[in-house]
Amino acid sequence: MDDFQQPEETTIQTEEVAVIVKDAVDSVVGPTLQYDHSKVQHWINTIVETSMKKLTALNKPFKFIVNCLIMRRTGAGLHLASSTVWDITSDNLYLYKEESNKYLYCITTVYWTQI
Amino acid sequence: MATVAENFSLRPNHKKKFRAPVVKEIMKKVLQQKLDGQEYHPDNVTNYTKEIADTICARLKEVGWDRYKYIVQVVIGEQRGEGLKMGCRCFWDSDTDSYAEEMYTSKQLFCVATVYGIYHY
Repeated sequence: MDDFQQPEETTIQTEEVAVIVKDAVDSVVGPTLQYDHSKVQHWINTIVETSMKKLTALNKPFKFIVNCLIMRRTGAGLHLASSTVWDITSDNLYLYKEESNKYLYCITTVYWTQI
Repeated sequence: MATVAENFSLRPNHKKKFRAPVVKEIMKKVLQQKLDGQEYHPDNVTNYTKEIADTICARLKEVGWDRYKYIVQVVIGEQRGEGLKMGCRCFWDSDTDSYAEEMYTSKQLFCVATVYGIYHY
């Protein structure tokens, strides 16, 4: 008499993560922020730490990896690809690209794997 | 009726733990193989990123560490001397889980590959 669907407490919905990441990025990177080499490290740290705090506050049995990339927009091309070996029923990723800013690219990725 | 008792260990054997230098070596070889002498063209670079990520994944499976999940991330960009910063935070078990990164630069392009290895208990 097994319950084949995992109970809610042991799965993570992409929408939950999306809300957390979008909030964290929008609080640091707005549409008018210009690329500043001396401040970029600090922005990345803030985005990543805020996201991580909220993700761990979900209190679910998952390991998280939050990755943030910021590059100045000059017309140079940028490509990002991910390949994984994991359990597709429980693990997933979410990628958020900041579109509204004309001066920089900000791509934030969250990977989560079940314990 | 034969029963088999299995030893279930919650931690990997220290010989079978994720070792960053080993993975770095694998990534270096793959990057050099795929990117030496290549120029940046928006059409083919998309394929390179996917191929490199898939090749690294395949090589990692060959290493034979049991119960490890891998996440490979590859970033390729055109080399224009621009500033780029990448940061990451991980919430995991630092005894069993780790990561390795490798960078490749040439006159035309730059490439950053990261591998995260996560143990599945």
